[in-house]
Amino acid sequence: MLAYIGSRLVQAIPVLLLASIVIFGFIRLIPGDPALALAGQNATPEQVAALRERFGLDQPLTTQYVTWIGQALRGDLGFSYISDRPVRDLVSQRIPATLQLALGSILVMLIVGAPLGVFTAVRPHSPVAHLVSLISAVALATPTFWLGLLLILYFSVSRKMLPASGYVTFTEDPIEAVKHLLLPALTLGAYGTAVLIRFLNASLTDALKADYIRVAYAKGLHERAVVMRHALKVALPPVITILAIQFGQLLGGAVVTESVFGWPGLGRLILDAISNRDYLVVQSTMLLFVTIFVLLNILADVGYALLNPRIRLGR
Amino acid sequence: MSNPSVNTSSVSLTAALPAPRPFWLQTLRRIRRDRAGLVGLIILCALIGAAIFAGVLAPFDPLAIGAGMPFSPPSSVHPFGTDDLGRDVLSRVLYGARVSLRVALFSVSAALMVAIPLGLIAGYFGGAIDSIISRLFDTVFAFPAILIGIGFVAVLGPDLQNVIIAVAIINVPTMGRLVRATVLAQKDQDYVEAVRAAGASTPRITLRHILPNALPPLFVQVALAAGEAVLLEAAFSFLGLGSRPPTPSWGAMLNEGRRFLDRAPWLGIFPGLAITLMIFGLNSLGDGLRNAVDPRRWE
Repeated sequence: MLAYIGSRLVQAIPVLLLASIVIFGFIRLIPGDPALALAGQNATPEQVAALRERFGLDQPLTTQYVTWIGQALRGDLGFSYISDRPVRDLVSQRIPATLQLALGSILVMLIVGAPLGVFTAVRPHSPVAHLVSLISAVALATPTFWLGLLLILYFSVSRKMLPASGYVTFTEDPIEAVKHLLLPALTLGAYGTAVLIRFLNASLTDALKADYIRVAYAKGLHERAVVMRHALKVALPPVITILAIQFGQLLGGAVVTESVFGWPGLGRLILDAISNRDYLVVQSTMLLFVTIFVLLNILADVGYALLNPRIRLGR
Repeated sequence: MSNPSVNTSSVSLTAALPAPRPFWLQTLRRIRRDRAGLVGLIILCALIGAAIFAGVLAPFDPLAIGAGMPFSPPSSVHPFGTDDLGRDVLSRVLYGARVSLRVALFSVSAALMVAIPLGLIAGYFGGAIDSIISRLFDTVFAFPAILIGIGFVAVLGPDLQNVIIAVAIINVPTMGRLVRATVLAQKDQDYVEAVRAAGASTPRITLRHILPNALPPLFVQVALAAGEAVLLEAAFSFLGLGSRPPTPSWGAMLNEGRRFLDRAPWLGIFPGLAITLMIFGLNSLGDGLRNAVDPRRWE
């Protein structure tokens, strides 16, 4: 198992290296000299040169890249050109908000998606199952940002029940935190919930067809015991994979959701940095996103392997 | 993937039918019988119709400022209401179908044009070239889709053409891997050996004989990728990174409308409904295609 995890991590290295080169090269393609833009129109050439030196922009590209990566590996993400603060501070300031949003939407997925996924597999021909499958098909087609707008329209504008924007931490005020989190988490979690329902349904439907399920029924076990203890054990591994992949997808979805709800997370950081042309922030945040994304995908595979005896014990 | 035009379970039957129906017709017929597929097909045809005939169907010029009073609620004159500049929302939604479909068409075609050769080369030649191409695919996969778009637009500027390029790049690895997997499964089959022994060139073997096996799953992927293209275009435009105003793009319309939700909720509803409808149609068509091209699902 350790060897498997190790090999997956090793495989990720070239991908991350290539990704970092792509990000770095890409940012360098942006027309215009950041030092010139930063110094302003009335700056003397000396001032521009000083800025360029300060941010290492006078170095050859390869040196700049190696410096950036070397520092990033040590946890130093460089300085923001605009706000003159370490990117690491900017990022770590935003992480709690994004994490709160991501965990909130995972909770939505589990609380709503898991029971419905199980129910639709156990009672496939019930009206509820048909309704759920229709609603999840619609949810899969609904863009995150539109769902967010609809929820704001109903719960904030028309009913005035929940706030349309803002972020409160749990330590500040737990009740307000939940109120502010509810709409963004529902928005971000809806797609994943539909995915979870579909996968859990498919996986459990397959599992319920197996012979040992008939045996379990034949020995007189209750349906609840058969489903919970026997079928789910087999049906869960693929679902875990989907969950981890969805968690990675949440990062992308968070960019949009944070924009809709004015949520001060990493997604907004990257969007703001792009509109401010704060390239080192864009560069480093992107690298961070990609690293988390790749690690989550590995986690998905490892989780799948751990839960699946054929893979766990094989080789 | 098995070749859907050959019924492997009853060889004698295929022998008795010298000229099977063309694959296209068979697939179309199966989609029509599949409920999801039929619904998807109808929705897609309706939206394509809306895009083509937008000039005839739209009651107003989509760019005409002051076609009605600003913020007129839905009425018989303006069924979807008007926006802050008094533009007719229905007309803008109809023309918006053109933007969405253009992005879907161009980005998916571009993705196919890159993915098919890469997948064929990687699968057929294997070795170092396969490793390089596969790592490239992995790298694109390492980026959350929306970030690729954001990065692109940051560099090249917000523009529909850049959105098309970004969406194409996002779709290349999925399609490329699909083609590669098919080639790997087919290249050691006897019929390939036979064609090779008959002296066929490598392009002929791969394009004429192996590639057709990849087409059924690719069709499914094309429908799903088109749905994703519509979604991404809307998302980028919503974030202000896609189409520039006054282009009637659905995502941009929602972005402009979200400032007026309390005054004119219809601005936040109809464009989103159109996006959802189109993605729903494409997803359903994808599901229908999956059932239609997969022999295991035939009844």
